[in-house]
Amino acid sequence: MPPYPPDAPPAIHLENVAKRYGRDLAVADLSLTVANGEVLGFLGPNGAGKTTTIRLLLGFLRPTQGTVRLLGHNMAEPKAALAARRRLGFVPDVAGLDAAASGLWLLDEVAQLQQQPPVDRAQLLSALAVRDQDLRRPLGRLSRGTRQKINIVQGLQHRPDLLILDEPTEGLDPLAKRALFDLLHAAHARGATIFFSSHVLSEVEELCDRVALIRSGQLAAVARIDDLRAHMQRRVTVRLTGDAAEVGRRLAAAPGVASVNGDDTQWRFLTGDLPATLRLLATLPVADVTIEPPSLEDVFLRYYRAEHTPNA
Amino acid sequence: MHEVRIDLGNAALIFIGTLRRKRWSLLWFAVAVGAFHWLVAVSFPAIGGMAAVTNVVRTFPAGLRTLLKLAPNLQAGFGVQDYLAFTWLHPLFIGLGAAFVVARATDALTGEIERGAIYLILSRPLRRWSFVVGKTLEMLVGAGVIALAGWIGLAVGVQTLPYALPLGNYLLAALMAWLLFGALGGGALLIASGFSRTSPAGGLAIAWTLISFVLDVIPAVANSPVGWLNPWHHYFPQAIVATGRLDPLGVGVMIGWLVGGVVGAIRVFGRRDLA
Repeated sequence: MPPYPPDAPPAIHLENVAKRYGRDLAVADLSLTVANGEVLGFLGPNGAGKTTTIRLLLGFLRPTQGTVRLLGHNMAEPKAALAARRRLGFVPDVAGLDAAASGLWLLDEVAQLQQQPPVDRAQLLSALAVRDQDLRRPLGRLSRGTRQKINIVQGLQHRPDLLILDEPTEGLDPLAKRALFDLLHAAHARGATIFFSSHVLSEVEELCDRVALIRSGQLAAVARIDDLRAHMQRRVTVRLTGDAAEVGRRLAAAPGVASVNGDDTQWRFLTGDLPATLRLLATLPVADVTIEPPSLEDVFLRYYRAEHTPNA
Repeated sequence: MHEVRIDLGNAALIFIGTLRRKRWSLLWFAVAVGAFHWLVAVSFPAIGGMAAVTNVVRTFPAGLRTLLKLAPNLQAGFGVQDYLAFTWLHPLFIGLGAAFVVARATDALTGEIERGAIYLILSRPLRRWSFVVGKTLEMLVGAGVIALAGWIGLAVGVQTLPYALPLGNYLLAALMAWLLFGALGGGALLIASGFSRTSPAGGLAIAWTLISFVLDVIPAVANSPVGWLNPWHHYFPQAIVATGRLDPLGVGVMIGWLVGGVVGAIRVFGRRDLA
């Protein structure tokens, strides 16, 4: 059962948030709401404003304008921010771990500072296959992957209601990635809200309900992944039984169809109007049709290619 | 009241955690300082004893005597007691102590930001002032251990000399050295609180320790109405060893720099963007 009453404020609420450094606008007019229990993927290329947004969320940066609320608490008010942080788990970049500290020290120290018992520590260490001897060695002598596992444990060990993860799969092997995803699915199942910042699209696609795409400090899109896909062009491949040249001409003339290319046996093209395309194909000498759903990568490329296109 | 107790508890956690992680570097600092003071004491006969030292010091020009804070004691003769008191002003000792507090102060604030470790700590329910206080405590305890190690080295070393020396007075000199390091560290913390990168913060903090030292040996500045504000102005180990007491004004100025620096650092660090 989710730990929130139905009328609980959203886990994350950013309202017209802007952050300016001198003349540079790092984040502009950012409004975003993440419901309790939701898993939101936060995507953007380097320099788009992902890190600035996370630092605004956690209260490390003060917004030039707007309001940041976590779990209903205004992060600009110190006392309210403390209340939010009691229910928060943050997995930052692994580089922040003190190389001289052992994993066990780190986990104990942050658990004490969190003022919450590390109820899930043993389970997390077991799931991520962190050995006892690794916990007793200085973090600086551990592999990047093991450090990242300990980093993940420190963020999740107190069973937070809201998890903010900044590229948490960096350095993890496929097994550990799988284990992390299982842990995050379990956290989601018990009602935790997850804000998952990443540039690995397949991970976001697997884990998240919705995705927010940030571009040049502004939200380019916030939508369910399925909805984003629905608005994308689909890649269609048709295998022919008749006159290929005639099929090519008719496809090229069809509304919503683009990038038509092929040979005597098959044609490939993109369509933004699938029903009309299917109606057209029904009138053509087609032996087989393959329609590929657009991937999140297609969505990502569409949004970020536009950024680099003059006058886009 | 309950919240303040929690905040102080958090400061204690930061202090203990930092001390634990940096214990080896502190140990080696302390060993180096202790060994230096021990060596100065045991090597005294080897350099020709009291007569040789007195003769050498008398050849120093007046400006150099001022720089080395030797002038007043020379009027009453320069003996083994003064020679050993001078170790508390030796560039190696004050250089190590100043380097320690500057390194700790800049690492505590800018270093933690630069490495990103600050985000791990301050994403917890922890007020920023608790963090600064915890780091300050570690710096102060470390500086105290270094000053005490110097005294222990000296106390062990003088056992080999045929003189009765006032070890209690040397302990007061070590205490004043600790206060001086605290004052320098307070200024360094205030400087570091405004930066996100270690290089400029460390450079400015080193400049603060050096410039304040140099200003105190320029008579026009040292004797001006504001000369007493300089922590170095009150650091006179030979006078402490000779009289066996600390100048209350000097102690006040040192504590003032420490407290003022820490309070200033808390205010700046508490309000700034951490990026």
